[in-house]
Amino acid sequence: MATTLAKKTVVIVGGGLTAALVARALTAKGTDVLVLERGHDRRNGPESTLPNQRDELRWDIHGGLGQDWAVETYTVRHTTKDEALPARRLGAFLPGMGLGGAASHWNGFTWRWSEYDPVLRTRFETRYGKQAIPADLLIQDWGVTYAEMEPYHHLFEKLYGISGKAGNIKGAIQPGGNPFEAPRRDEYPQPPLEPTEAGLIFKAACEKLGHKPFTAPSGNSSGAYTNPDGMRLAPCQYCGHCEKFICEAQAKATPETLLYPVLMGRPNFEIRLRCHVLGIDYDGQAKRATGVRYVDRVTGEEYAQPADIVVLCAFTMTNTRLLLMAGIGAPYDPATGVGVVGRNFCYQTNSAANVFVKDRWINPFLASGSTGVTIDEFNNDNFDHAGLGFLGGAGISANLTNGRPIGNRRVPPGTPQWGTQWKQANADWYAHSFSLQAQGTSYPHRENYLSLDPTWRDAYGQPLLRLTFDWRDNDVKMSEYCSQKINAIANAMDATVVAPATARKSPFDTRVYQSTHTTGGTPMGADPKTSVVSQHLQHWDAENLFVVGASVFPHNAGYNPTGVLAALALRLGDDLTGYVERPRWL
Amino acid sequence: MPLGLWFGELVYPLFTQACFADPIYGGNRDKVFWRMVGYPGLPATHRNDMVDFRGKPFPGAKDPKSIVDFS
Repeated sequence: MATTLAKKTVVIVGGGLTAALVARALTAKGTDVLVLERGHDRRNGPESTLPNQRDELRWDIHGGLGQDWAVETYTVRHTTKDEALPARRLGAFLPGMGLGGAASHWNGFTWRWSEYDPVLRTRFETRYGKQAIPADLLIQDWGVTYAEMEPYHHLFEKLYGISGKAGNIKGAIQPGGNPFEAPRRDEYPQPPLEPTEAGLIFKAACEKLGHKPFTAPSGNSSGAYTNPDGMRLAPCQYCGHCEKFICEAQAKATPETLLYPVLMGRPNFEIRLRCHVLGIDYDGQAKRATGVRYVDRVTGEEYAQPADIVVLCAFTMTNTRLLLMAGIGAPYDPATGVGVVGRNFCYQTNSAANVFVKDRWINPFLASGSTGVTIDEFNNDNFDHAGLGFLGGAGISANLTNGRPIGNRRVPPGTPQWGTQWKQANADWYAHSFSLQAQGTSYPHRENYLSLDPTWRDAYGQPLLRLTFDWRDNDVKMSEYCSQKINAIANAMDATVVAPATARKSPFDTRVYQSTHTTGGTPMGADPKTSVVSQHLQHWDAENLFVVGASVFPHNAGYNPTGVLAALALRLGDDLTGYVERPRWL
Repeated sequence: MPLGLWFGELVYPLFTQACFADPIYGGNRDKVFWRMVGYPGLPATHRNDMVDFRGKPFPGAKDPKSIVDFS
């Protein structure tokens, strides 16, 4: 039997980035907030101190910071006709676990998306006509505009001390920045990071082709920085252990470095670690969430935690899974298109080329998580799609993030996997090669969705989440186009060898790391028939239940998601302070 | 399972881990594989190196340091 605990005003599921940003506003106004996080606080452990922080096998290859696949995994299938099976060792994406969540082992890329992204359907229909969007693509407007989000992007970038070069200040295009950037009110809080040698080679090739390369905005601190809350970042050490690692130098903006220490100093804030939320308690008649149930992972005891307000801030797929298990909102049915929970599940359509330059010292180990040089000419709808037969695009970058030797050695195509030639190729090319990446859009497809698996269960006996996902026609065509663009840049580099990019093709392969940017499942919007939560992230079927994270994105852009989900979380924090004073439909 | 698949998907990844992981795991003795490719290892505090050795041979690549060297 679960023990029922004293009621809280707000309970938040998941102790990552969005939870901290929501709690920041609420606790500042005196509201009591409880965060439940399944993992622990790793700030003083071997994962965040030298020398063990630099252990590629433990933290990267063995995924020491992520979700434990023996406890909870996903089942995967490509179409509704297939039988889904559990991924025993998932590689494609890495949900976090522990204080800070996946945001503690991110690389730091912090984008504002295109100004038109929140009104993408309107944009496409206005530019290309009503028939431009194929019927099987569920592209929809978000119910919010970039102008409404801008103050929250601004605040987030200040809190995180983002390093970058503005490309568009109040509509005036800035030299050296991204000319396609959504208009911002001022410069980035810190100047850009140092470029890598690979970045400089990429930049020269792009300029030769007439593109406009720029340094990607980054949460790796280019200098010493103090944020508006008085929290500090140290300068980045370019150690090459960023993504999949916790920064030991306090040089990477993360929730546990900048946000949770402030919250933990507030008497009305409480976080319970190693607490795994099992479900949301829902009163279907009153249409209200009454609290959550969780298990203490140390004692095995179960608790019922009542609350006036429940906020889901867990990893993308967990938000969807909790709603499906509680029966809140109608599950999406791909056969009829009816129902909403689980729809608009998107990913990131990437491809990459490898470049080998004999006479240049690339030194891949001199790198930070997001020392990228990028071009945006072929991203999203930044170019004319008339007659191309697809929508969307990709940011193309030379993001050299590390030279960790297990996972990041490149050898020319045709090199054998053993013997003298293998050794020689590794010795010849380790310090003289890098890759170019396209990070591409993923638009919602009628058959890409999330549901509960009818067969497989997790260690707690609860149904696993089932991913029905594959690269569909639009993704493949976009990827073919952008791969050609990468190859054109690679061929403009005077490289010794180019291993060209090939487009993403069906079937989706869960074994290969591609990106942790899974999005959707609980999309936001103005229409309850096509969205799970409102423009204000309030669940259409429970006035006191809110959801935030990449799970509310109706589509995924050719950008990393952090900037946008953080802005949405800060906005939700403001909305919730008003809601606490006067509960109502926002 | 076909032999090629068995080698490529199971054996080869484990083989590269054995070669290139930190020597604390028992392989990569005397950092021989790090020396071979020129990976300098620890402590990797490269704030100045990033500028000083951008595009140039990195001296630390000849004498890599591992976790044991800092324990």
